[in-house]
Amino acid sequence: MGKHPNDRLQGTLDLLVLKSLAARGPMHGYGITVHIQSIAGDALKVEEGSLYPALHRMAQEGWISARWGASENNRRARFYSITAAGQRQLAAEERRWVELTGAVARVLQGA
Amino acid sequence: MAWLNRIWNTLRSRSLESDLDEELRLHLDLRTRELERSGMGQDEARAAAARLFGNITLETERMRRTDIAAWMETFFNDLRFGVRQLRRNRVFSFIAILSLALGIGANTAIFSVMNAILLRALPVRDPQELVILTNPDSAGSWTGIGDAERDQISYPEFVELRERLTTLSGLCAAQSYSSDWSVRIAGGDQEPVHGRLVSENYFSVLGVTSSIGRVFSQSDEAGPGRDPYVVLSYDFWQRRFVGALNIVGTPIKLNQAMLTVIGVAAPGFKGESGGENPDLWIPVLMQPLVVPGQYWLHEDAGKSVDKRTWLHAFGRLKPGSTLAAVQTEANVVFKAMMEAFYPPTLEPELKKNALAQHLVVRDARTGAFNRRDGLATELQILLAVAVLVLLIACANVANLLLARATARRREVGVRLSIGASRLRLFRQFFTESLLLSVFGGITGLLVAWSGSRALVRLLSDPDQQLSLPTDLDWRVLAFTATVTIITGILFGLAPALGASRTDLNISLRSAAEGMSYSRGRLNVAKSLVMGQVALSLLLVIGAGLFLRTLGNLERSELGYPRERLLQVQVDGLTAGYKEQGLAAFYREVAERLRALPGVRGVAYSQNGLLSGGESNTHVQVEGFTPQRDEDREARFDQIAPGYFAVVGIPLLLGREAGAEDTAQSTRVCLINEEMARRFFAGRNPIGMHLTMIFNHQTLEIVGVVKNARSRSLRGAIPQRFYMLVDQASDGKIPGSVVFEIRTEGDPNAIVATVRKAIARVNPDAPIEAVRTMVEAIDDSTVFPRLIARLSAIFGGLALLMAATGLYGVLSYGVARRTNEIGIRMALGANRRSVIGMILGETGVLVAIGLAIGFGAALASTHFVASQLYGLSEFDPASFLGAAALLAAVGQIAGWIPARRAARVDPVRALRHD
Repeated sequence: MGKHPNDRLQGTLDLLVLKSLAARGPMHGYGITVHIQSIAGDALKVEEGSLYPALHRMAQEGWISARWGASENNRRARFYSITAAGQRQLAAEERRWVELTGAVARVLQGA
Repeated sequence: MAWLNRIWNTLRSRSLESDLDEELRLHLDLRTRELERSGMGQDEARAAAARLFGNITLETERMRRTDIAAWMETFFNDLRFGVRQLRRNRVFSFIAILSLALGIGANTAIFSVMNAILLRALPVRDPQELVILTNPDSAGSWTGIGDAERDQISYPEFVELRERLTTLSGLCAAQSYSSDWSVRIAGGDQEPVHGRLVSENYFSVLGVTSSIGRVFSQSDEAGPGRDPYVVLSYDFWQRRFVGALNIVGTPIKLNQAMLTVIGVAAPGFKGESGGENPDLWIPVLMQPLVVPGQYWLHEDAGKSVDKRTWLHAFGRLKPGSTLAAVQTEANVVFKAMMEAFYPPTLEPELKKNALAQHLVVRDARTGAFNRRDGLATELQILLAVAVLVLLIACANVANLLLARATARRREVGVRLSIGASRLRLFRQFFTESLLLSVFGGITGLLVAWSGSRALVRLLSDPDQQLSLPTDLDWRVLAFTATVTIITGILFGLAPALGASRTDLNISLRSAAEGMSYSRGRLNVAKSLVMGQVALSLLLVIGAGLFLRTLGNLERSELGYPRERLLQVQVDGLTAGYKEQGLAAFYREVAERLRALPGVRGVAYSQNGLLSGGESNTHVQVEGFTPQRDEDREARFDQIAPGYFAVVGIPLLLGREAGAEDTAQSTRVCLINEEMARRFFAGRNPIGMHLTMIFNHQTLEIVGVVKNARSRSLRGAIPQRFYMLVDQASDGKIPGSVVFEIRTEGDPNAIVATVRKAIARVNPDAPIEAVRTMVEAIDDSTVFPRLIARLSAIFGGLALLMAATGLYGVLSYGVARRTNEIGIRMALGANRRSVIGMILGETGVLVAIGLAIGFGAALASTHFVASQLYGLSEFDPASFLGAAALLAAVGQIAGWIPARRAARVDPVRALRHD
């Protein structure tokens, strides 16, 4: 079981998903994609295929919980919501992200 | 435990697969609908949604990788798929599982016997605390000065050690060999039992309790002949008394001892020695009454050189004490004893030997077992053979799997093209292999269960059934599990790697184009076949060496004719005869036997021929100055007049001892050729004298006889002299002798009349062994025969597997090359040259395999050199014979595919895709 090839991005995807769920409450996978895209626009593209493995993994980590419910068109859909552990993880990820982008920005200015 | 949770979740919910499908389907549908709203056509929108999503299978695979539960689910899926595959190919599965079961079963059976002999602890309290001061792998009752490392100790030595050692919490003793006794239980008829004399504290030191009644203890010690108790073994109680509760108090008469049953030992306790199942135990102080005419308890310490050493001493470590501490303390005590125990008049040479004696203290948790060394060697050889067979079986199954993988390469191609990862394919193929090996392992346990019992029977001595607990304990099961998994990895690796490396493009094209792709696979198959040939050669060479050894042993020159010779051992001492009475008794029995119809001649001797008995003594030979230790010793036997004529050992010089040599006349002896060569090189031994150092008896040499094998079929014949029973000094007349009876016809035919004749002289004289010479030789070749037979069977199995492997690979090669062969024939190649080509290829495969096998054999046969007799470990006949046999088998295996190739119709072959 090798590591996912792009861990860096995976971390980012986790952050986006957790943030979306924290902001909007329970959503299904497609809803999460739509939400991220509606805010970020075309500049940030969620790789839809990677979303579900990420959700699955985060559910196992205990950051999000999943339950079955009905979608807007009344089909069975899995709704994800953020847990307390997920909130902590989100805070940590946000901090890391700010540190990282800050550092990258400093390097760019310095050059 | 998060992962437990995960597993639980998976088991509780519907399967991950369908959940995931549903979730992804919903996503795609919602996306499609949105795209449609933005003006796309339905099909276009669906395609775009799928493109946006990426590779679904791949993502599902990725998802699985993050999940233990999913991993297990995959595993169960693979397992189900594997079982389906196995059921679809019944013949393949049957052959594969059968060959694995034989291989794994043979290994397990041999291991379980090794486990019982070498690893299993005695069923006593805290066996890890037990130590033994004597040699656990040796048994017997000896007199004289022992080897430097003492194998057994005498009773006075035991008592001294028991009183003096502070590093032990207790020291007990047990007769080092088991005795076959004839007893009368509650006044009934004579019946045979076997058991041992053990010290009074035996049960308390070992920590063994009674199941009914009580066991004897130190407080029962009253003095020589005054501890008349018997403790029965649980098995004997169940067998003989059907577990009756009222047996305490039952009288048992054994020789001159009147004993009383006081209890039954705990179930499962079979004594301190492995391989045995004794019926009863008797206090050691009863020895004078149990073995009448002998006194092995308190010898006059310090006066005699002849110490009777016959006991094993088992101790229990005190808390905090160590083996090394016991070793040191025991030898301090022992050394002091050795200095006091021998007469001051002892010759310096012997004194040195006496003082060199010491004790070696060992861990005794597995108990004593006098055949451990020999059996361990035999079992190691058998285990090595079984491992080779298992390797060959692995190669065979690997080849079968490879061939089947070829048939499945389209399936593999399809799986790869729809996104299965190579790792996933590897896993699936590997699961199938493991499934095979596990089925093989389970079936192998059944093989082992019956095999280990058969093996124990085969390893038993002719006269004594070996009793070993070979049930499948955790060690055996762990061994089988390990072997099974290693086996699965061994034969599963190549096919699984092959499958996961399948070239997608090529495998999906037609079979004909796939040719180049199979070349690598065929090379793996060819290497496997070469390996099989090499391993088979090793086994067949081994079988050849052992078979030829057996032949040499069975044909070995005894120095006298083996046919029509019967040996009967009679115990005069137990019958109550003493001193000259004994000698007279033997003379009278011989006289009666001579008068029987069908008897040509009768003699007797103390040790008999190939009966296991042997005597050794220190000698001083007139006119000879010894240089080495071997020059001071000689084997000897006490014989009756006419011995050489009756047995058929030719007289070379001088005369035989005859009736004129009586107790009153000059003491005479005959020597064998070897003794004459060693002590009388260039001198005439007739009329010279030799002196036995221990009893200062001088004998005049009156004859020289040819060397004869009287003790062992193997090895050099040692120097030996023969003196007369009738001229033995007081106390040295043997307590039992073996009568050698030359018969007119089949010796078995007169056994009954011989028994009757002896009973007419004295009905109480125990007749201990009745064997023809041919039987005696059979008995002494039991183990070489066992090894020869088993290695021949395994060698045959190996040949069969190598042949099927070779046949399979060649057939596959021919089928694959039908096209090429067609072209060759269309271009004018005739049938013979096609056959020649295929056989040539077979020849190359076999030749390379043989070369490897030869190298391996040359490097490894010295491991069995000690088991061989009459041939070198590089015996050319065995090596070349084995090679020729394998080459022939290879050609036969190649012949059928070659014939098939030669029958190829060029026109059809060229159309063949």
